[in-house]
Amino acid sequence: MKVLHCPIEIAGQMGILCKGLMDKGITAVAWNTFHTYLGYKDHLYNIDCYEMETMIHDAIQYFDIFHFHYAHTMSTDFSDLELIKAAGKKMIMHHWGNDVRTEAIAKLNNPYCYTGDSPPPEQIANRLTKLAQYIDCAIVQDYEVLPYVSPYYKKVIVVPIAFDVLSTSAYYPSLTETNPLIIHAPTNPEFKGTIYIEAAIARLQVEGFNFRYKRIEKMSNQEALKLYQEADIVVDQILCGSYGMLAVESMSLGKPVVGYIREDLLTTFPTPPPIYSANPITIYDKLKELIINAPLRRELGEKGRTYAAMYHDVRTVTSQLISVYNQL
Amino acid sequence: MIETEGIFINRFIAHCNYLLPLFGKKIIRWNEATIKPYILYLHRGKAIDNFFGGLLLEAYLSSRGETLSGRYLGFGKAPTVNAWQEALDELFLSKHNLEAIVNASKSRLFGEPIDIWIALPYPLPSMQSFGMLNRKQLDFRNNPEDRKTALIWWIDQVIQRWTRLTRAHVGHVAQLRGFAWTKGSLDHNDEDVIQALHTHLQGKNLQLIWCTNYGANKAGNGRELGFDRVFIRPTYMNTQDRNENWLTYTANFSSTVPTDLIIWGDERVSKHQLIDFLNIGRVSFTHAHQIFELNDQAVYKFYHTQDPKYVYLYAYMKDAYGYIPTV
Repeated sequence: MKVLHCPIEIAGQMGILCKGLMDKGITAVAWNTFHTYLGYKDHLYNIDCYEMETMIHDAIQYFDIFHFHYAHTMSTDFSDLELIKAAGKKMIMHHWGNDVRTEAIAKLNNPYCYTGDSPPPEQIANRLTKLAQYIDCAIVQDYEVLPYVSPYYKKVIVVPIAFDVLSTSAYYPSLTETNPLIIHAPTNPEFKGTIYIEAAIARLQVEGFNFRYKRIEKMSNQEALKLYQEADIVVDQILCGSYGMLAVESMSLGKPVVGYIREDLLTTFPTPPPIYSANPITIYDKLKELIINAPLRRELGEKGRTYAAMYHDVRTVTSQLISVYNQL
Repeated sequence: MIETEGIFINRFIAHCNYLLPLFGKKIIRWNEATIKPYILYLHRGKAIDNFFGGLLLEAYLSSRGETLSGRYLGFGKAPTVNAWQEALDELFLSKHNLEAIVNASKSRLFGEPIDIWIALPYPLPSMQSFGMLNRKQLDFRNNPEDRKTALIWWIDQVIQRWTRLTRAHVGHVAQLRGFAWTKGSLDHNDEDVIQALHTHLQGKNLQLIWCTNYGANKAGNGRELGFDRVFIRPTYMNTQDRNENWLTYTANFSSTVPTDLIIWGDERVSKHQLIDFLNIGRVSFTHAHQIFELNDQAVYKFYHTQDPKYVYLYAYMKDAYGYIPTV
């Protein structure tokens, strides 16, 4: 089986999944046309959309499965889909959230969700309609993303975010740390709720709580992961209602993670994620509690590591993915 | 021929892939018979005129399926030094490839030189265990400088062997003009590598060209990057977004910036793709040098199957091509 992942690398997922698939004996290749300071280069090829266009016909001849990401395919006008279908090759679309999240649906269950980075709703609907003409099955990372795409595809499957948890060492927060380090790494501050997080941080600083704060930005993922090792508390995202890659990486490192998990979604996870849930209203109190409570930090860190190993390790996730491929 | 900064470069260059093609298991090795229809315009076996003025040789995959070309990342395994060595050895294989070209060049009419361009293998930035070179283990991922080391070694090997080869062939008119970077976009520290290559080649009176695509980032800044010439490929896909207008837009960009052009004749895109290119190119591409990318010995096949495209190409290069309707 030869699988092509393309064209947009989100949170290192194409590379991680390809590595996981290759370890299971599958030829898996990722083409990334979305280049950021995060600098992903492992297990993927950084190209541009024009290079990809020149390779469409070769790719259709060479690969058996086309695993697209982020509502994009190899052609800007989706003209490749007809060719892939005509060649009898299989396709799947992996949606990640901002590519499909509309305010109308987001606000039904969540007053905080930010959708300013999503395309306009008509464009999302138009794109999903075109994609679903040729693609029957989609993947989403959790049930927060699912309702945006489920009306369009014949089948939508939840496959969690993947990370090489078992090869990552845990750095549990020290029980004796009296000046804990809080880390927040917003790739997109408006989406993550950085303004509320930093307002709470500022208030806690003024009130004299003993802690350090580091905001990590414009840094490669490789460098950022090294810095997360030093953290005593990691703040992920407090608006969206679910958790993202930073939470998975941090749980893998044994860090307590603060993020907003919608209550109605808790039962949709295999087990409730051990993320210290905080929204813009409660972030101050939740951070305060963690700053002063080292045993709680440690407990959350340990639980997070166990949870990540159980559900997010790349070996588990790629086994799920192969079973999805086999159903196509 | 056109003069660029004192160096005469032939205007029409045929791209010739060697070693393993993307599909199939048969290694492509050029011999005098297969290369002659490129460097001479033949009619019933007789040379009527010279044909292409330059040849660009590029290895796509090693015999073990390792990717050598920057154009086709993902269609093979990550390459090691052994694959790069094989690409070198194949270039200089006795009676094939470069030796076949050098020999065949002796029949060029009027002693007109044929330019030789060699595509560089692409050093994958994520490659950790490239292999041993000059008693050092090269690791592109953690020591980006190793990418330069590997390329400069490869270039120097080509130059040394070329010198040896051509000394042994009296009366040939083949001239090594330089090397081509064929990855269309620039990744990580590619720019740094390109500057180093430019400096290295400049001292040897050789050029560095870039084969990229219309729309690629920095395609208009070739000189600043360290390229002597930039050839842009219009990604004409025969679709609504990438229709024939795309060829005209590319030509307009190319004449304004200026850059050179690539005729991309992939007939899976359209049955008439080459003709579409020639139809537009005869009017709009005239300012530019042109590389003809026609895969897997296509020109040889055109000649031997008496495909009229052989004549069309000749007419195009002689400025005698007339519009051919394709609908």
